[in-house]
Amino acid sequence: MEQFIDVWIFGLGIATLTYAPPLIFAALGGLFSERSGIVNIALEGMMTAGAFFAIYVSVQTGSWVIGLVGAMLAGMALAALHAVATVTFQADQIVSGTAIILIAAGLVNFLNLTLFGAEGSPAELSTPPKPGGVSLLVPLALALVALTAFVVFKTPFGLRLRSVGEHPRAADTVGINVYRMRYIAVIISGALAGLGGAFISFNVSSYTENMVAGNGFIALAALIVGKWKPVPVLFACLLFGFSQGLASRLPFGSPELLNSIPYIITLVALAGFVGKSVAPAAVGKPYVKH
Amino acid sequence: MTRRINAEAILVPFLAVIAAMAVGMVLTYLVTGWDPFAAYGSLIRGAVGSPSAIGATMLRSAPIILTGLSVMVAFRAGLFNIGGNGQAIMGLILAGVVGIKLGSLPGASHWIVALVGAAIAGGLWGALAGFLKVARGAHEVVVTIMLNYIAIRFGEYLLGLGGPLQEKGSSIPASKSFETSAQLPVFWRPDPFTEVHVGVLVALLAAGFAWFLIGRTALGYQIRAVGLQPDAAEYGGMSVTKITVIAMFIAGAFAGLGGAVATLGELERLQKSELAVIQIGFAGIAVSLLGRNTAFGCLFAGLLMGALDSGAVGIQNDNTLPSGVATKLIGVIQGVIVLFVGIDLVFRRLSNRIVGVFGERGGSGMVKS
Repeated sequence: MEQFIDVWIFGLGIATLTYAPPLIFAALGGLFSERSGIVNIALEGMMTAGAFFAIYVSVQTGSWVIGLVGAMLAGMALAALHAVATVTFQADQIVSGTAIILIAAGLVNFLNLTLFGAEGSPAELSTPPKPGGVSLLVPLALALVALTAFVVFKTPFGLRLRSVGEHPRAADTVGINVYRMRYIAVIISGALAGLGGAFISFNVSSYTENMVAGNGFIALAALIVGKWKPVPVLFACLLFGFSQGLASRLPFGSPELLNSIPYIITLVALAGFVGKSVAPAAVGKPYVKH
Repeated sequence: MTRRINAEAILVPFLAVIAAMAVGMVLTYLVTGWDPFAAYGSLIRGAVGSPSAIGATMLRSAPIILTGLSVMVAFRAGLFNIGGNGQAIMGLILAGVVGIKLGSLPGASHWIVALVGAAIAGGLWGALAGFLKVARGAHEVVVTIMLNYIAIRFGEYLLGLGGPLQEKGSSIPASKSFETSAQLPVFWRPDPFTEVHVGVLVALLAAGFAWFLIGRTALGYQIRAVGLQPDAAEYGGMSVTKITVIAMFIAGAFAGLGGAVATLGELERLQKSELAVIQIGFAGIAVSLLGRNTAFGCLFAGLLMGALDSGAVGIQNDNTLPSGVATKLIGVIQGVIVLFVGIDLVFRRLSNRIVGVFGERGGSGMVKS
């Protein structure tokens, strides 16, 4: 019985707290971006950049804190590219997102091969401490959920953010700078996605190619299932993290099929079988100033 | 009828490619310190410098021409098919099943059956996205992203240790080898290592078929009508629901073929590790955008991207680099091309100016055809 509790209750709890946080960071990032009216399908790419630069900067500086900053800056740089393309040049947001995914995957793995070589990053590097097996970044993820909920729904900034995502013309009319709000929101999303990627690579103390493995897209899924609201998004991330944790410890059956659960749940939610998910009204549409 | 002879349509993608190559050069220099001009010399030699280089370019182009056509057909129906990866995976799984489960079949029948099966499997996976879009209002972009990952996980389940398709008694997560009769026949061997197979011809035929379908048939007309003005199409008596699902079936079928061509042409068996790294669906987006969403545009853009890809191998060989480095760089260049084509505002102005130099105002003239 005691063993059962150890393996299943604690084990699964810790597994959930390993798999959910990257999703939480990235999904909150997606929330900022999409609430401002910019679809960000490139969370995956920004996480990949974050995963690599967290390790690279930590190796170079010997500090995981600076590593985290590096991860955020890398995500922000890609996000800024997305913002320039979609806000200033009114490029299609999906096209730009696709470009960023391609650029991030190519660039990061190119840098990984040229900077670390075939043998990969050194074994010894500074990573966030894990008291009791749970990374220090976990409370940060949870705090950011609360902070996001507060910022988006209780502050003037949040009101402006939502207004440019719902009705940019009206927001513009009352003097809100739509472009600036969208730039800020997209760049925040890059910083958060970068943190999500850093969590993944710090967790195993190294960067390997394709290690983000679809987590950016699961975060996008959690954003939709959580209906663009911070607390429901948190629960969606925990659910998806739990199902990944379960898949990783299943002694029987197929972990792969279990790992497809987040995607299937999202399809069901999108198809409106369990309460329709409705995106912010202006999401995906470029705003052209008159 | 007048047709727009559009200088923009050629100049914008051309400028985007030039700009992307320039970005690649700067990046190469900054990160590695290699002489970028020498690197591009290797690139060109690797892409078109010898018969075997040309063969390699053709081989690398075939799958992405097919996924490019997939994205193109969906675009014409007003849909963004970002699900080429998943449709390709469903296609290649079915092609693989046909290739290992039916025994040896006579003549060309085996690989043809495998390709047809792949087209149907990919098509159904695409049609599912089309159906969820029109019947349930689910946005096809997110739906196809989710379907991509469901396809990956499904394939990993089939090929994983103990999975239904994994070779019995083997410790490698892969199927047994395809029957020889299922592998795509080789029609040109420029050197002993380069075997150009019929997948290249399949891609060519598919481009011709797509051109005919979109431009010369009633269905193509309906697809374009739905893409341009769904409400008007509905009012004109077309079923937007039916046409959307059919268009996504066709799109998925092209991508499924792309997956099958890449697999039956290049590999000996289905491998679990190959699934999650499949990128031909995304490359297809680049191909279709660069090809201005036309069938022949996809053909040329696909050849160009294929040339970049095989040229990357040239860079690698000339510099004895770790395997994969140059391919990553080409990935970046592909991404930058997509970005530049996406923000074509800049390039449209630039191309207008260039066309302006040649005495034509406004960039595009209307002529009778």
